[in-house]
Amino acid sequence: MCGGEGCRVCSHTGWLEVMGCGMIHPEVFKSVNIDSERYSGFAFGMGVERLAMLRYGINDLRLFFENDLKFLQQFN
Amino acid sequence: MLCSEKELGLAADANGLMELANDAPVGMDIREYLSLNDSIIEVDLTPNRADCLSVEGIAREVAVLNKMDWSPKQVLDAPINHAELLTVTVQAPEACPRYLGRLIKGINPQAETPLWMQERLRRSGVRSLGAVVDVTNYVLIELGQPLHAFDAAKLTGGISVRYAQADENLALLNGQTIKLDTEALVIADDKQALALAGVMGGSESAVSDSTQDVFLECAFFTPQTIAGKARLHTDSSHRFERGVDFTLQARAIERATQLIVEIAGGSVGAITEVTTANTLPKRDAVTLRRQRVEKTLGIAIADDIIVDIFQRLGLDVTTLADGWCVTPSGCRFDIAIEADLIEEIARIVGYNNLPSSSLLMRSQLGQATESVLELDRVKDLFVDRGYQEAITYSFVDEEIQQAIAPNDEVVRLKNPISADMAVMRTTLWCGLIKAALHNTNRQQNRVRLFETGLRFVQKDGETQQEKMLAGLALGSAYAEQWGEKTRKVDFFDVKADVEALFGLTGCEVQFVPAEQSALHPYQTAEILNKDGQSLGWIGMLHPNLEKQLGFDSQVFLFELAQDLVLNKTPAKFKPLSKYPSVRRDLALIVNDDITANQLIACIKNCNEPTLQDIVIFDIYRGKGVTEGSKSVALSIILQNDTQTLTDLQIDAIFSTLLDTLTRNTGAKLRD
Repeated sequence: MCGGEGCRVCSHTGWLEVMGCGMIHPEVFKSVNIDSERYSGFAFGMGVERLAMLRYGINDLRLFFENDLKFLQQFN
Repeated sequence: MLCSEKELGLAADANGLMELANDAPVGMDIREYLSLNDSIIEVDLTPNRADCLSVEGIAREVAVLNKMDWSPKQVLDAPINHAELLTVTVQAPEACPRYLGRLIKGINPQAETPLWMQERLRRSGVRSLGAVVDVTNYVLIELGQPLHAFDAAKLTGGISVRYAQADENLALLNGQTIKLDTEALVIADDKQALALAGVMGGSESAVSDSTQDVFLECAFFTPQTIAGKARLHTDSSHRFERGVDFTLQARAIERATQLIVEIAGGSVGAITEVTTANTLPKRDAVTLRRQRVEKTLGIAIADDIIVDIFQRLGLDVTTLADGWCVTPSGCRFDIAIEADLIEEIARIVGYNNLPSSSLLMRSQLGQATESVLELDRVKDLFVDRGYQEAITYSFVDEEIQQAIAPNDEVVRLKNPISADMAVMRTTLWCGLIKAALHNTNRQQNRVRLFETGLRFVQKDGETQQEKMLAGLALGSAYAEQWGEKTRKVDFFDVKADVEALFGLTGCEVQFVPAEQSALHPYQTAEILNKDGQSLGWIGMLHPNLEKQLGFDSQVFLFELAQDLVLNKTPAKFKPLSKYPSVRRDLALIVNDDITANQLIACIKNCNEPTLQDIVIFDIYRGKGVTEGSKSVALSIILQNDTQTLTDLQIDAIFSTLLDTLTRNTGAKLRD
């Protein structure tokens, strides 16, 4: 989008968080009956919209949920 | 040139020219005088790292990461100059485990905050408001401890920390007067509430430019007391709700005293402290097993490095036979279990320094099944037929939901983002209708949308999530062009789109006239499979709703249950007949309420083995046909596998078919 220069999308930081990730908390494992002594887990997830914004140069996240035909028709 | 601070870009507002102190050296570069050649580093923190909400906290972190020496700011206890004390009563020790207060008398009310402090505050985003307040803000930024200063002359009697009485009023420093409830913790004197504890002071007891005697407060309020309850977000509440170091108060009040005396003089009284030790946050020792470090991080870290990391972080470490016992420091509210300690090690060693390795896993070929139609294929189908895929929220406006499905029990959100996202949808139509309106409001007069997603319905007292496929069409049947006369989309256009889907699955379905509260009473069908199971609905939006929702043309909708419609019947080969097929046309007069479906079903029910196909090719009402009746022209195609059908055989078959049709539907051959 701004190539790291800073813009509205990245709150002028030049960085955009696209994927959060981390080790799974033992309490989470406990609640689904997985033994955290035996297993450890790594969870990660992408924000598809954020990546699509970068890929297609879309500058406003809200457009994804407005379903404006002028927007949707650009991605047929 | 004469300039204001605003003109120089040093402040957002300015009343007039910028005034420099009398001792400002004439001829010196203003950048040098104000030490403007500086770098400002903005640090963004995750909510668990309240220990870094101060310059000292950041310094500790930087020192740990860079293996540098570091020691906290040392402050000497101020000499006591007078014996006057204010009594402090803490009535809510679980909310305020520690309260320190001190009287500083006879300060110079006109004392000016030194330039270096004003500048540091400005660069931290804090406005200079007078020496005493500046000092409390300075200590907040320096050490992370919020403090508050009261004008002692405006206090009546002693100080108490208590919950507010119902409907007690408090005029705050920001000019707002709030009505308190009994959950709000306040600092009060014998007469009234003075401040919202840990959040903001009151205007009546505030320090002003005539204040000579100051009562300085430095307390620890528990995160639970402040979190979620503060109606205001301030630098102070931000720190208390995330956790302030509960061992810091004595040092912070001495630091503030030192700065106040340096700047404004005054005579210092002794500290009154009320600490209820058993209500202070607990710091339980956490055991870290040596082998867990390697198991979790994937690499072995030397013992001395681990111990060094904990020590530099200020955690108390004892070495055990197979690991360590670590007690978190007062500023760390985020270390409670073994994994938290391993995280500290990983963080300080550096995530980038942990080796990357490929996942070791068994790969298994998935099963491709012919008995289920892929959802992607369905989406392609609708896109190819001129629809756009929409994604709408599962949270919908209760008003639209209620209008479309008044009989559905909805799941209501406990804490909705906004009123138009307050309930969970029981039909995808809610979102599609909203999206269609968005488009018609923007001069789009032809809208085709579909969506796949979950609906949330109550069944047997439980909330079920059901995968649905829904669509909406409005406006002209085709985009404007010269080859076809412009006409509006109708029920049968949309029905054809839905039938195209069943063409892919090979599922035999019936469209049965039915009634649905959201749809037009005469242009609605329930879609059933061969077993009579309902797969979904298709129809025109009810004219009342069309008007109520703000459409100015007819809207057609369909919604199908994915689990039921995506089942695919794999093709089954039938040998081809070598003998010619015969087509004969029948023109039937039937009552208007007999549907084409009924005629076709009736013919099929005869189980005529040579029957190949039935096509309806004309429907006629009008001259020559009695009113209330219609003429239906259909073609019947017959073919035998073992011989060419003779005229005699064909006549016999048609006579049987006609008899059955007459008996069951009242159909008569048209003369």
